[in-house]
Amino acid sequence: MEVQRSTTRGVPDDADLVQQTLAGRRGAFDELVERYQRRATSVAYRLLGNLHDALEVCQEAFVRAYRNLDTLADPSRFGPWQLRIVTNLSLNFRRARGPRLSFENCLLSADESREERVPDAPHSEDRPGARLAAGELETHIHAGLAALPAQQRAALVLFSIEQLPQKEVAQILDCSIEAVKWHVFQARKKMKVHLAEYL
Amino acid sequence: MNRAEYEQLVCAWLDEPGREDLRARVVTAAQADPEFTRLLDEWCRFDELLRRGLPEPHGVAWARFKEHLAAALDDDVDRDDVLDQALRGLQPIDDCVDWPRMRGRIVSALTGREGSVTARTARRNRWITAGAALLAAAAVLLFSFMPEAGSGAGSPGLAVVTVSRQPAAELEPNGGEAYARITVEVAAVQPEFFFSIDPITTAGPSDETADLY
Repeated sequence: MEVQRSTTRGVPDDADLVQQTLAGRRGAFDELVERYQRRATSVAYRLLGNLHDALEVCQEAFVRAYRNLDTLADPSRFGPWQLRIVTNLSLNFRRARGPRLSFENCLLSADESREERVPDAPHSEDRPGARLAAGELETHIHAGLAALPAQQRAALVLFSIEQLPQKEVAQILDCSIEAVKWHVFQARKKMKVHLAEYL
Repeated sequence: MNRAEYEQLVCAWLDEPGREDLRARVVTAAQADPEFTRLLDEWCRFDELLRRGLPEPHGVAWARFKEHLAAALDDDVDRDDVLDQALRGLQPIDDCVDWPRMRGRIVSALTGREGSVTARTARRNRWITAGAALLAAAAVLLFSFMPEAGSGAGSPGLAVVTVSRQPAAELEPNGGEAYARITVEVAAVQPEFFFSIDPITTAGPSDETADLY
């Protein structure tokens, strides 16, 4: 999942969009949303294991980013900064007791979903047994991730699954690169035990 | 290399799969130990399983979600405006407070606090005064019972007198002073009387003083 950070052929980079947003152009922030919403939702989904919760966290993360955009020291680092907000919100997420936000209109219908299916994903198999097995595996992985300590879970998701650079993960988690390596190693060990029946 | 060390090496390689030096070490160790070969295979399958077992979230209409986010941002800005307006509409408190009474309450509170401070200061000063008086009394008693220096003849003690090296006979009659150093403890000193006899100029009744020799 590539994101745009440098200006190519007149396309504004993240720093330009941030500056334009701060200057009052709301449309510039909508462009940033377009660039980072998938990654933000993906990270939140892998940390929370629930798509609805992930969309709620993602929305809240963008609202907070918009409110506090003037505190961003380096406008070119909008992506990692926004991911840090997503990660923190995900790790501290508690389902609200009152009426929750509805994202039903943001979900694809069954027909739309069939069109969107990615060929490489396990779910692309038409055999019901394969889809069920893949679904069970996914549930099992989410359960294993949920049992990890917060820092290990975040490090594993951001580094091993989202494949962000270690340096960026360290910035998001506000720790050293060595700490990231250690968290990933510990998380892998525990997840390997959890997924032993699938290996 | 033990099992834990090998697992750390494998993880380091999985973190940076492009590093040939790590890959070489991993493979070399696996070739030397069948247990390590099994571990390496297990770790690689696990890593692959983790990546493929968690696909990206599917079923999201990203365009609609983006519109949803934009609406949420608009709501947030509107809520801020509404809040600002509500805050500006709050009734000013000037008309709601009895300011003279409030001032009196504040003054009373301050006075009460100051009174307690004054009382504490007075008590402290009394303690200091009493302590100083006791010390003075102790000093007076101490000095009262201390013996006076050089009191009364006959009291044993040490007298230091400086002695001139010249014999006393060589001293001029009306000049100089003679001193004597007494370095031994002197017991009770009997008073000594010295008489001087003036030369006789005319015969006459004996001087009363001459009879004393």
